[in-house]
Amino acid sequence: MKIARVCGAGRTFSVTQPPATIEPCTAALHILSRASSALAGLKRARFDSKMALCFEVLGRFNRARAAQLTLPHWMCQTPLFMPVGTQGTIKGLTTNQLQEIGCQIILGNTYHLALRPSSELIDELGGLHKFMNWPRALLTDSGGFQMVSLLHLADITEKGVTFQSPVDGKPMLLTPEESIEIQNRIGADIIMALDDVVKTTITGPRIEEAMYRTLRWIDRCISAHKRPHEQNLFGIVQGGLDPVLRDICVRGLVDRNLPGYAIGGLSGGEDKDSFWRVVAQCTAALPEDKPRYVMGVGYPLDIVVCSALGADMYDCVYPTRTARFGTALVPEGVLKLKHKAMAEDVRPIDPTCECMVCKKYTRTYLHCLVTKDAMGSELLSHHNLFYMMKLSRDLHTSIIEGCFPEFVCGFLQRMFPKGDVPEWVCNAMEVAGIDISSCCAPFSSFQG
Amino acid sequence: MQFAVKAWSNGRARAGVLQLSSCPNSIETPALLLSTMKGLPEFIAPHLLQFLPSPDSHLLQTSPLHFLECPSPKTISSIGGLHQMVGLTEYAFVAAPRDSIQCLPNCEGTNKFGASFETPCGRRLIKPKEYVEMISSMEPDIWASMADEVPAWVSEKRNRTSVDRTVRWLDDCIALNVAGGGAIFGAIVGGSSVEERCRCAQEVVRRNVSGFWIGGFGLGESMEERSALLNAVTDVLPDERPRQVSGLGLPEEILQGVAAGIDLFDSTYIHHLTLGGFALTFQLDGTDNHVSGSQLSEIGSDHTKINLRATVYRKDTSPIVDGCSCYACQNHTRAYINHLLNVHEMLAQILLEIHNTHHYLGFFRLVRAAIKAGEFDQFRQKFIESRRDHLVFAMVSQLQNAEEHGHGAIKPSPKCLRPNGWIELDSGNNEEKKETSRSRSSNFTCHRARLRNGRRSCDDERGVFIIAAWGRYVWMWKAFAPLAISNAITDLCAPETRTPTF
Repeated sequence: MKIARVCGAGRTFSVTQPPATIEPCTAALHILSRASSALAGLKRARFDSKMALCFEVLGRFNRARAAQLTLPHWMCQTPLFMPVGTQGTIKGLTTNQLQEIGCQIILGNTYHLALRPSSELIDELGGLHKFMNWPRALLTDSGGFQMVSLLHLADITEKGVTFQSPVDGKPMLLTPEESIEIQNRIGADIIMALDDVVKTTITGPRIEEAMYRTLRWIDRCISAHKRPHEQNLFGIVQGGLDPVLRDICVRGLVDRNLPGYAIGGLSGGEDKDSFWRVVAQCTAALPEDKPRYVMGVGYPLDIVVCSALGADMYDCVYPTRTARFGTALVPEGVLKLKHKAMAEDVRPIDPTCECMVCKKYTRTYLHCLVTKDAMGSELLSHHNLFYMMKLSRDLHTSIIEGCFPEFVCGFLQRMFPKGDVPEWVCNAMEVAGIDISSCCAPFSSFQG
Repeated sequence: MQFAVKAWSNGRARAGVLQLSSCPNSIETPALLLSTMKGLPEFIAPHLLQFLPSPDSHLLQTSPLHFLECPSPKTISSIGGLHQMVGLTEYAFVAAPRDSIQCLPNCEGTNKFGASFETPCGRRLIKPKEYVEMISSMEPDIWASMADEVPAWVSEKRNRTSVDRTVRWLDDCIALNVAGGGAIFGAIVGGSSVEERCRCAQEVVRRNVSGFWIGGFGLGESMEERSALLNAVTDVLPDERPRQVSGLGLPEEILQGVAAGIDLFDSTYIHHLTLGGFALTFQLDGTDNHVSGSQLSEIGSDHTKINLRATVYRKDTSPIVDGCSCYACQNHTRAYINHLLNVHEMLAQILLEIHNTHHYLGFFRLVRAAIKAGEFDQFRQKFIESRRDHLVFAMVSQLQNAEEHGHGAIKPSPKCLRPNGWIELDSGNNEEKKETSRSRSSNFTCHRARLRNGRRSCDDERGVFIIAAWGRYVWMWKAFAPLAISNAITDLCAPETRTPTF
């Protein structure tokens, strides 16, 4: 597998050849095609016992790719954004609303669900899909991140993550095996391996220790995984901001031949310049024919940059959380509806948006609802998620139709009308091979 | 606005048809006005309103006091009125100052200049001029004039003043309503005095109003005296104009209002049920519920509603009510809603409000059907009895259990079942009290007691004797205290009850 090399200003690099066409198939079809070879005309896919997904790249622009990701419960188009439904629901939104908006995959938090209502109960009632009546795809994280970020006395050892149970204060231990067991019971289409996650703001040998531990734990996760035909186990690349460590981690995970890979340990307060470089390095090194998931990325600008660099999936609480604080996402950036200026503004949030909220409601009405009434949160969450889903669809369509650079330029022009595109974006786009000189003001510090 | 009475039953109860320009279809009465906060339901998102029964669900109640802070009347006018602002152009709005949930009349603050209300923005004095200005910017289909509502225990003089003021404000509102938009309902008050009620009604009838808004209820009067007051008012009112009453929320109270000849009701019942985690389950097809009383007290429920916070629903994969066609029952299970309530997720209240609204609208359909069939009185009798039967079952089984386990127990007096279904303890009737080592001397006080599965009281140590009635919470009434039923509902579902106990 060739690794992409960036050659400075010359901008030449080799990309791995796309593999032979794989017919879209679900796990069920796998079984059918094995059972009867009389399905003439279908090229039989290389059956990999560890996969329950099918990833087919439909279009490219340099590193960016638009693909079809077929999961047991839903056929998704990437790049895509996954809203976070922490406790088995997206706050304030019903499942039919989410389907109308176009959500394809929803995240559930293993830590919260294991606490209440408990993974055994979810299993008994037929899995999380049935429990929350969500017919499309689900993804659960390993629970490790919540423990480390939410619990004061969490400690990470070789065995697993030790923490104090928030219910009764008893010391508890979450091992990779147990995390996978819980996720097996919950039944999501994609499950995440338990990784040793460290904040990117930390320096020193801890990062190296975490990276090697992640690799050791991935083996334990793989052997503990009881449902590889129904659930896809994604490995998570760690290594802080150190390119050497990241490289070692990527190679280690790729050797295990997992259904997909995630780039973790980012979005924890590091500067944007380091952030994009890590994403660029990892996407270059990860295999072409598997999905790449950048965890914790939710700002629209970050999603566009990461998609240009070759990532496919994103998740973040940002759109829904910021909605509950009264902030709406618009092409120009954000709109703070709590602000006094909105009290008399009779325009919709975004005149170009086609969501129900922008078609019916004005800023002044939403100003009096947000942060005070539940309805304000509901309406604004609806708009923000609609915006994110539209962004995902636009990324996918523009790559397939070959107008991805134009889309990126239009996006940046609306967001930075004065041409003050941040330097890190310019650098990242250069590496991605997208010409955004039309969006940048001539006197910016970026020199070609 | 057009209104016509189509059928009568047992004297005063009537079924009619209300035609409003905003609603494409006419609305049958007696009808329920759904409560809104700032024009939209509290939790049901606009895209989910389509799943509620139509056109019953198209009557919405609102109050100009919701918009005290913003948007300003000028802004609302520039958007095109309330219907346009909230995106509900095919719905009808009925506006009144009082909404019984957030904006309650405050009779001490009211003076000759205006009416005082407790609102989310604090206590405000609203003058007729401001009120009409807000109404003209909102452009509701129907609006009630300002009223000076007083509770049942004020002096006669204060009561008389309130009637005089209300009639004067009605004249002010009519005079100020230059734009002439919307149908005016004249407000009728009068406290607990039949004479004042009659006087007020007669005065209002003389004015040019399209209908009548009867206020001053739900503020401390008892259910028994309310019937007399309502009848006194409706006897004076002409038949062909619609009547709305404010402050009657429980099903029994609605039936009382229908029996007196009222057509439109706003209710806080759904709001309190939803916030408390309750879902309505009483039978809507007129048949009796076959679950035995002892089974019900086992699961912490009664015939009328279930408390979805109860642990017994953790694994219950049935819908809230089998056969219910509301969005919540068609798509989700009791187990899921139990989980949502436990983790304090907004979706719980959304689903509960949808179901409760759907169910209560179904109740109103039953009422209308009974009136059209000429059997309203029988329907009312049967309904009230069915809601009391289970109380007797539960009480009897509780007493039996308590005696078996040796807890102190009180046998209630036969008169303690109030017509509205609440249990009242008479402090005189404790001759059968058993002294146990855990009980102390009896001293009935009025406070809430928590029950686990209706068998054990966690207040045993304090020597409070409990009669378990249903569910997890029971009210004990201090004899002779003038406690308003609406306050009772509020306390039943007050914030403290919302924390899960398991």
